[in-house]
Amino acid sequence: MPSNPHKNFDHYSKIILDNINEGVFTIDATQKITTFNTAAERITGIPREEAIGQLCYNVFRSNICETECALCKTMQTGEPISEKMVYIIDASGEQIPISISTAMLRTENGKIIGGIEIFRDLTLVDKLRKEIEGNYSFADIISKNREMQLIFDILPQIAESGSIVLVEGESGTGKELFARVIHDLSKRKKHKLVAVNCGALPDTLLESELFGYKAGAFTDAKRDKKGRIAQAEGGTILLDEIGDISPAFQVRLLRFLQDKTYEPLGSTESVVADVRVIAATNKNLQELVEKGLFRQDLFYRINIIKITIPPLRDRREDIPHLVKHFIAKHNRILGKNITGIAPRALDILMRHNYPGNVRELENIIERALVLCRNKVLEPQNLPLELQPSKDDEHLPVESLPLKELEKQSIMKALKHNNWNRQAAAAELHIHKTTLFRKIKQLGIKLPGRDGRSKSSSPFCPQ
Amino acid sequence: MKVAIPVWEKRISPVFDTTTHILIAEINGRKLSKKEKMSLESLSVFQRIDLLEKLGVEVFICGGITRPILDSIRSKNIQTFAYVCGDAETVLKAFCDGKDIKALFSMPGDLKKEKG
Repeated sequence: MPSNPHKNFDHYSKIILDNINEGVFTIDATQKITTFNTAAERITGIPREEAIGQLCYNVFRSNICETECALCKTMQTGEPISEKMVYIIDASGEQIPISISTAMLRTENGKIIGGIEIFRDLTLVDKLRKEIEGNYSFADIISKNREMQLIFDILPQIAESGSIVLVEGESGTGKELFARVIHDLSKRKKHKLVAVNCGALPDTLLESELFGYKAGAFTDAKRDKKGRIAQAEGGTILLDEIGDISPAFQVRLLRFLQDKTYEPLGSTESVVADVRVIAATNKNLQELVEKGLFRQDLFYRINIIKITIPPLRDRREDIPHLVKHFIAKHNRILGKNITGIAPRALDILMRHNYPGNVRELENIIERALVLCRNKVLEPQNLPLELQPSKDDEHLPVESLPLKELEKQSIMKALKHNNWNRQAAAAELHIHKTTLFRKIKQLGIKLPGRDGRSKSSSPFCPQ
Repeated sequence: MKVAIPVWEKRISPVFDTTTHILIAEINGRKLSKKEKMSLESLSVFQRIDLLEKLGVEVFICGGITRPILDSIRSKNIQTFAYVCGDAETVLKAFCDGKDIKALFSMPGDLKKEKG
């Protein structure tokens, strides 16, 4: 008897589907999963028998399911979508970067019976990218700045040591990220890292938040509550904005740091804590000590290992890499496919001073991605306050001869730094003597003042 | 007791990290006393976690959620039932009735091991 060709075809289709590296699933008109291949099981961590018959968004759990489901769009418009970068949350709660392609499923008669989605796991690509960029990144901190590289070099030893670490840096420099890396590299990584913003709470609240309380300690304390130190037991506690705590609380904190013991509010018994302390501040604690605003003994207790994170304006060489990193990150979050940034837009970003540091740059990129309708971020996608004024507008950078371009860059840096040659040279990443040589060579006329003299500053009223 | 559920139309959102709305329900005894839907649209995940804390949420029921965010919510002493799916009202009623929502409404995958 001849074998049934349809049955054979189905059998081979299944073998093919289960042997390809891409995840494939199909849905019917009600969005229920009808096919789920082996690679789909591997990438999502969800067994086929549990996926079949389920609504696709409960299985696939991607960042675009709710707002711009690619399969829904294809089913509505008939247009396939290819290589869209998104992420999914797998069965163990991990974020998996993937690229997806979708198409409609039609019978031989053209009747629509559902849709198909093919997806590729980009975890390896992501890892490789990180390895390539590894020369200037540490965990999730990206920098090729020399000072930052020196910090990267000692981070593993700092993590291993178990000592108190003081992280100093302006707001938005990533102090919490450093604390996270130190915790993750330490022997305490299996336990929690608990962060407390000391500056945001008044003394009494901070005390109950850190040390916890016993039932009856105050009117609303109906039952015992564990403090953050107890929550971090075995792990690490990050005391953020430590420079903002009151002198009265500094005494309590000093006692805890000295003995690693504390009493929850309303308790008479001391509790011994096994936690590592990381303190972070955006203030210069040494200066606070000198002004009498921070206890010297507490300062010495926490100033054992100090990391000072340079502000972004002092490591402008990192801006292009950070921009690239944030474009990739927010592409995944927003489900966009922006491929890069136009040179004019990057030029604007390179010149900004970033009082909000890396956080500000990330916000700028996130906003630009939301507004961008093209493949590349353009100057008009950047906030208005960053846009060059009409006086600054010149010919497009690409059309200028090299010398003219050089002249313009030097002039901009000089103006930007109020004609201070040293600061302009630092901004351009060249030596001061090289700048003097270039000024002479290119015939740049300087005003008869230097940015070092205070009276000439355009920011000071005359 | 305040219960928060990220919602997408009438169902539990498949991904908390990117969801746009959250249902805040107040339960007294075993009865639902108040319900309010709030927008999360412009909030980052960290702001979302802070909001839960600020609102005094004691129980959080959600669908898919990335592990660090889940850990962060739990570190704030919020009882969390993650990887739950289905109609939000039905799940909320089951919770009010004291039913085991993890057993009844778990998302597909090996998530029944996930402790609430």
